[in-house]
Amino acid sequence: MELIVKVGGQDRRVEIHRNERGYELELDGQVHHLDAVTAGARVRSLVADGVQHEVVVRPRRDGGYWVSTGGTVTAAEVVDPLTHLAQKSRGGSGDGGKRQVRAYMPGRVVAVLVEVGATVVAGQGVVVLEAMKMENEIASERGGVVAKVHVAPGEAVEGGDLLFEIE
Amino acid sequence: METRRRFEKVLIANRGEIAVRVIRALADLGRRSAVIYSDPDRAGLPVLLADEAYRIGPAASRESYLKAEAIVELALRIGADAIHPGYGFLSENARFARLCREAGVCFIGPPPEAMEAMGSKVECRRRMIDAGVPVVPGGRDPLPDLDTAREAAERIGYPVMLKAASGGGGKGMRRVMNPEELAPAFRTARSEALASFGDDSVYLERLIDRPRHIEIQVLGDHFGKVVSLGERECSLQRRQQKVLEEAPSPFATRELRRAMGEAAVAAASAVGYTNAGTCEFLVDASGAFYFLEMNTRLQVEHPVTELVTGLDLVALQIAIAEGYPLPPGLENLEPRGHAIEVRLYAEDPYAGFTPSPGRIELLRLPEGPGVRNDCGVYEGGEVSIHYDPMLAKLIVWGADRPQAIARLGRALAELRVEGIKTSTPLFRRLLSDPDFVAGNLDIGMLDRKLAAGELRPEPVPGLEDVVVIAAALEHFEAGARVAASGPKDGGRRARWRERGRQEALRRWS
Repeated sequence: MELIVKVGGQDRRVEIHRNERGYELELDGQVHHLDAVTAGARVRSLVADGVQHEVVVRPRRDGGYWVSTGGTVTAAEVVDPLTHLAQKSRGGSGDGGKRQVRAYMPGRVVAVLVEVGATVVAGQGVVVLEAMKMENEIASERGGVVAKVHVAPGEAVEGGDLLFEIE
Repeated sequence: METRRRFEKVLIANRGEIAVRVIRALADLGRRSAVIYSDPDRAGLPVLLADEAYRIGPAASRESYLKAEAIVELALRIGADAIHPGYGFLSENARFARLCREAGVCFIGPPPEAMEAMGSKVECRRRMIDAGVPVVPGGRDPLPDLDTAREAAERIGYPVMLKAASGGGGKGMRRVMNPEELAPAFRTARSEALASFGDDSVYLERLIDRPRHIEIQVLGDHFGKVVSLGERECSLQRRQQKVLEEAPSPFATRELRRAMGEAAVAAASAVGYTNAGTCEFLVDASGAFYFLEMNTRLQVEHPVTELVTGLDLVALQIAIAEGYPLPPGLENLEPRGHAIEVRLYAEDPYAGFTPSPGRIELLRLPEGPGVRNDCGVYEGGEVSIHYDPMLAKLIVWGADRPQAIARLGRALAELRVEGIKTSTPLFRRLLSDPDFVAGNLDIGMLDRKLAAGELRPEPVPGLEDVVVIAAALEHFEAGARVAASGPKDGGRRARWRERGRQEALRRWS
């Protein structure tokens, strides 16, 4: 099975097959013989050529994964080559040009700093969220015009909730 | 002092790891523990471990853990003999201590009069000077004009620090290295103080360049005896919040320990202090030390003292409050070995230390020789947005500092926390920092290193390949699982090799 793994802005091609001892996995033209088992709810133990890696894999809301190993957490997305091609031909943006600003943590909305129709620049704070006695400004990653505001002061939000849409 | 009495039941007016710590001390002594909880803490670890648990109110601290009257009433209603306040919340609230006294419930801590004496900056400074405790040279009196400032600076001796009288957090603070710098610094400090606090009064203190923060643990009983249990080095701070503490201080000699211990005992005795408390000092490179303030409660970092003295400070707090004299042999204790504590916060050290509440999806605590966990959470539990983000403390002991550092490194490598971000990667990085390893610490060191980007995680070669392989494998197996549960059931089947098929079904369904 051929898969494209998107990590750190790069597309990595992986060819993966199961065999009687585990998996045969080709990455960057190199073949790895892999023994992989689960070691708890989300823990995987991967042994490649005698070297063990303990990896924790958690699904993300968007269908991708959080992969934790060696003290770091990395976001990874996995697609099959056909989906990958289709995504590329659409230019990567399938949301009609709207950019969504989401809460990256749960908290309470303390203030909404912009209104619908206002122009924001990249990095500008749009919402102030309070969590754990600290106020944190959520910034828009992109510049544009505020199309929709989904929250109001006093509301509680979960991590990943939609706060704003920017055109 | 009233007569000795045994506490059969103690109410803990706190939450999180410190509530767990007190529950354990009580259980060790064979006493009953009762905890209060706010709504989001209903399923918290203290409630699960205590003998009794009582709802105190909704999430907001004001309506729960800070409700002094309600807590005292509860203690009376449930027949608790004493209240342990932990740290934070009501622990340094003299009014609360007084309420307890009036209700006839023992407050496990110092008398309210001692709290008040130590709580007032001006009053405290005067009493410390009278008791012969060294304080930072300077005066708290506002300086009306430049001439007065000049006189004061000459008297104190350069370099000096200008500080806003109603200030804090570095605003309105100016270093003045020599007489020429005084006039412009005086002007800017005043205008900054006015802009920030609406009050332009400033005062002068001797500037202590790159000081260490070293504190002395004291215990006082109700028979007039106060002892020092040695020092803790707490110089590693981020924005004046301690992040790593150790005992003994790599800087302290036997002579410095004794001199600081005597000063701390004098400070505590001057205000009639009883129970556990901590005198904080700034220490300069020459070993001169200056009293900063006294924390009139059990400290977060008390376990490092416990590990190098072999004492249980919470048990001693209880014994003192019950009216027992301090046990013999506590004077001039020399630390045995070396202990280091790190505070695990639910925050992302590489995204501006933003809080990271959420569900703890995986928690595996380190174990083995010399490792102690004071943890207030469990796997599957929620880290609430409402309270301080400290989850747990990891404390290690070694025969000497290098062994303690090595064990801390090993313990941090064993630690797994998933679902929320924690400060762990920063500690892993800090352990290989040459200044930390050499013990060259001062209170500004961590902030300087963070600002310079020195403590970023080091890239591990080949790690991204592991991520790619793990993600691909996960997707491959997830696909196999979907296919296997499809209508034809003829597809590939997930077959992670496991101990039993039962387990496999549970894990992957």
